[in-house]
Amino acid sequence: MMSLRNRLLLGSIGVIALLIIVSNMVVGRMVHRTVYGEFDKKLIHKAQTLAAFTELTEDGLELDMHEGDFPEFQPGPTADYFQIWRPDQTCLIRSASLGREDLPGKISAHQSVYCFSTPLPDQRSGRQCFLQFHPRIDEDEKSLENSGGRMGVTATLAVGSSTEDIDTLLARLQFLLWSITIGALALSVAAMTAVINQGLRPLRHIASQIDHIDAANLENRVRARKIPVELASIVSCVNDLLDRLHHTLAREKSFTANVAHELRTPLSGMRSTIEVCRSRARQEHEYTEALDRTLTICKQSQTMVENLLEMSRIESGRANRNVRSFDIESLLRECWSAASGQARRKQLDVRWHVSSPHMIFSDKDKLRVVIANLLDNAVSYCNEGGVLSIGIRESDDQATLVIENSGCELSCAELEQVFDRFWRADVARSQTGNHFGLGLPLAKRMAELLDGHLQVSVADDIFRATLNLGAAS
Amino acid sequence: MRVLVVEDYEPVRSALAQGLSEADYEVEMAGDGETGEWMALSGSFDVIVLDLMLPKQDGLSILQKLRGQGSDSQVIALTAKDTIEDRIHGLDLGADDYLTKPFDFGELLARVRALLRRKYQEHNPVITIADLAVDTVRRRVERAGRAIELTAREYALLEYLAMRVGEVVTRSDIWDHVYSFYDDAQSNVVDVYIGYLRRKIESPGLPKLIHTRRGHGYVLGEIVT
Repeated sequence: MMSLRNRLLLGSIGVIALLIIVSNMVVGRMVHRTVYGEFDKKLIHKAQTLAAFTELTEDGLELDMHEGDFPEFQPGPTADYFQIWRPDQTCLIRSASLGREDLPGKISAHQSVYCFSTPLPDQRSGRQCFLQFHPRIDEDEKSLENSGGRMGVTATLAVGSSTEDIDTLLARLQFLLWSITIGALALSVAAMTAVINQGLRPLRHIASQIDHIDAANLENRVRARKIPVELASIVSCVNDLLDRLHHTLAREKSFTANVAHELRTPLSGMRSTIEVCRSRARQEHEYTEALDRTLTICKQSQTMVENLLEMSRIESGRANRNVRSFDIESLLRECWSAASGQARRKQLDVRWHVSSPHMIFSDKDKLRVVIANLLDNAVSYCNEGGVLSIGIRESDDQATLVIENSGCELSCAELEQVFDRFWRADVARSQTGNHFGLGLPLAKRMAELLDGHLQVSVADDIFRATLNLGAAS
Repeated sequence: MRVLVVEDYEPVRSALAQGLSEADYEVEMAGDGETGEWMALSGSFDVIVLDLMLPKQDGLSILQKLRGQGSDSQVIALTAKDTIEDRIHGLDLGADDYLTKPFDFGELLARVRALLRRKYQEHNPVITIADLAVDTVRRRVERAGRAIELTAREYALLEYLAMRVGEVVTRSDIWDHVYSFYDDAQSNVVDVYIGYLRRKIESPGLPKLIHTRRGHGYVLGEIVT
């Protein structure tokens, strides 16, 4: 792909060169025509002058002219030529310079006077004029007037003259014109190069600014002072892109820091529990309790690590789907059995809006993870004695799962963050103890993997999770 | 000595509380920043074990408020973040020590003991007053080479007096630093325990070491006549 600079340069210089050359040629042509036109006029004038000296007498045509009157027709290096033919095409008279030769050329029956270029008898380039005329009648020969008269007799006159002078002149003119052309072209190349380079400077300036931005200083932006209007939109797009990159990188960095923290916390819990337990001799039940607590923490960590791995697999496109047809209502009840214990302990009012089986076509194991997460969330964050509602809506070939819990304290701003990895509302950990903030982000990504969509909303302290599943079969 | 544990992760909080309590410290707990801040500012704790990533109120801002109020509690910061910047930041804001999770519980105990020595400016882990030796690491007491058996409460009282050797210690000081908040506040209890202590360490023939300052309190030290 040719560079913009070269394209502009070639384009502009091409157009300029074309213009210069065309005008050069036009000027050359016009000058040529004018000069030759003048030359022809003189030639014709000369021919007409000679024709005027041609008389029709009793003896026929005669040239009433003294050689001395027209020195140019004498033999010599710069001689002109003429020849006159009688009406019967026989030669009446030749100029002295012609000698015994004839002037070349055709006689056209259509025109009475015309000029054309032809080499002269002495091989010089020249131009010849043919003139057909009616010779005048000698005043003394009035008798001829009566018999047909002047109009009946047509003689032909040819005059040839060398064009070497004007050719030289024209050649010099052409040389001059071409020199000017080349000079003008050279100048325009230089000028256009300078103008285009100057014009493209903002591009180079911007390119160099962008070049200096890398991962280490991603907060820098391309400065937008004095930028041509055409580039302003590009600069603004680049800056927006940098904003998004910066934001994403910051989130990734914070994610990595969070992962370290989140993994260390349960490890710290296990270690402290075990070390304190071992610090002195204890009764059997104390050991058992310590082991139980450690095992619980271990399982929670395992869940978290599995969630992280699954999310990483989904995000790098390595998760595979195993779709088949199954009843979502039975899957729901299956997931519910794991959460029902806690629901009972918190004395929740659980309302089911699912009656008949609904067959859907999806990946059952992945959907189980999504539903389990949503149910676990709903039960954990529901207030004691609150309301938990689980339902399936079917509409337009789509199955929609809706899970609601009361007792939600999230603000609108916080609601936007629930799908951020490791985000928890402030109170989360101290109240629920084992939520790492990965449940909803994972559920959302998994739902998308299954061509579904997970949405959340809050209204009147009720948190609602809406899961649109694929086509119902 | 009184220790406050501010940690939101329940397993760590209860393990720490149990371990510190079994090491004969009076332990209070807080599970979030707000409660932790309130307790730290209003109680008189010798050592505060402070987790920095807390819900409701960040650990570092609690630290700042503590120091701003001129609290002389020793603070050991706990965190899972271990970048140098975080350590520097935490120490500069007023933490006296810094431990990253997961940590060795024995190390935590040793650092708590070191912080206490620093607080009471007792550089030697074994505090000697005349022929009485109080080993704060092993929690053993000897007088004239003979080991003396003390209950946990008695030892705590003696250790506190020994940390402040030569200073007059008021009953309320003793109450604040040796007894838990849930004990009934009776100054009589202090007198009774001082009595127990005297009986054990001041056998007849040995010089008195625990002296009464009427109207003020008690002081542990050799009498300078």
